Amino acid sequence: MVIAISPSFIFRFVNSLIWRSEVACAVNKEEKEAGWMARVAAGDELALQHLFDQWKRPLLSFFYRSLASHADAEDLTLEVFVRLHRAAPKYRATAKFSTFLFHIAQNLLRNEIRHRKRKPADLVPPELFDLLPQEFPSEHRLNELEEALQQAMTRLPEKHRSALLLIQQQHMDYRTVAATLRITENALRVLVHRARQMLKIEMETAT
Amino acid sequence: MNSKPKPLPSEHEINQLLSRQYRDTSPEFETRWVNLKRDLRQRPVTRVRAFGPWNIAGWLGIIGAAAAVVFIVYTVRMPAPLPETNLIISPQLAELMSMDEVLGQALPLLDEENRSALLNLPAPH
Repeated sequence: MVIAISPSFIFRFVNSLIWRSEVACAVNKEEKEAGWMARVAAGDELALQHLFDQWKRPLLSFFYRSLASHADAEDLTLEVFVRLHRAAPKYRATAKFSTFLFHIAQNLLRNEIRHRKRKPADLVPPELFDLLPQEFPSEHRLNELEEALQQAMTRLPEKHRSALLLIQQQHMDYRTVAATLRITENALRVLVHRARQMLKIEMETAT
Repeated sequence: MNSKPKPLPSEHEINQLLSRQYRDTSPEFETRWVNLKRDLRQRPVTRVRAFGPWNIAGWLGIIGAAAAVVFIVYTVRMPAPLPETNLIISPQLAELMSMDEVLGQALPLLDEENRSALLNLPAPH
């Protein structure tokens, strides 16, 4: 008996398998994060260290791009972990862990922007960032663009900047970012589109 | 001599720059984290309960303070200003005031019937 299987059926079948595995991975990851938080709540120091090691660089990068100050980025990153430690007993995995974490980060960032007086920029050398040598023809060009981008980022409104960073720097999906910023997905798409336009204009004037 | 204009950043370059993250953290930052972690260890995580023993004391304090405020608002009155003794008024007004002082304390003597009868008395010529 011969069963004819069409290529489109195979394609859909493989796609559904991939989708299921991705969903399973995401659910598994969220469960793991909730487990780490439960361990933090129980006073497990290793769990806190694990979360710190996993999220310190994303948080530092987010704060640095938002504030153009390395020192402030470090301060706020540490403050996130203080809040995380304090909130651990109340944590319920109703949303993604990254939503919870960046919601804390976003609140801290807004407070900082509200209270900070005009501070001089505290830029870090581009070497501290991941280098992508194959993408850029020269180190000089990289440095030029890095500085122009950072200056342009500081001129963006806070909500535009945060939306852009969460999508493009943190590689979070639109649903998660919308939940983090407490806006609709459509509003987020508009925000990101406008942020990119504004950023490009600012960079063009800077360069 | 005009310098060559710099090329504008491409979409791809902007994307690459935006997605960059810190490669590593500074040793000072890690030291601060170790110190912070030590502080957090000494400050154990406690579940905040709205009606825990400390919070009950807090609630009682708030209720007590509110009661004190209400008591003060309803009991303390501003003293009435004292009459000025050297106030110059006309003799007629002074007489009227003295009559008012005397009659003001009197009980009403007339019932409804007598009042209407008195009101209909013929006016004296």
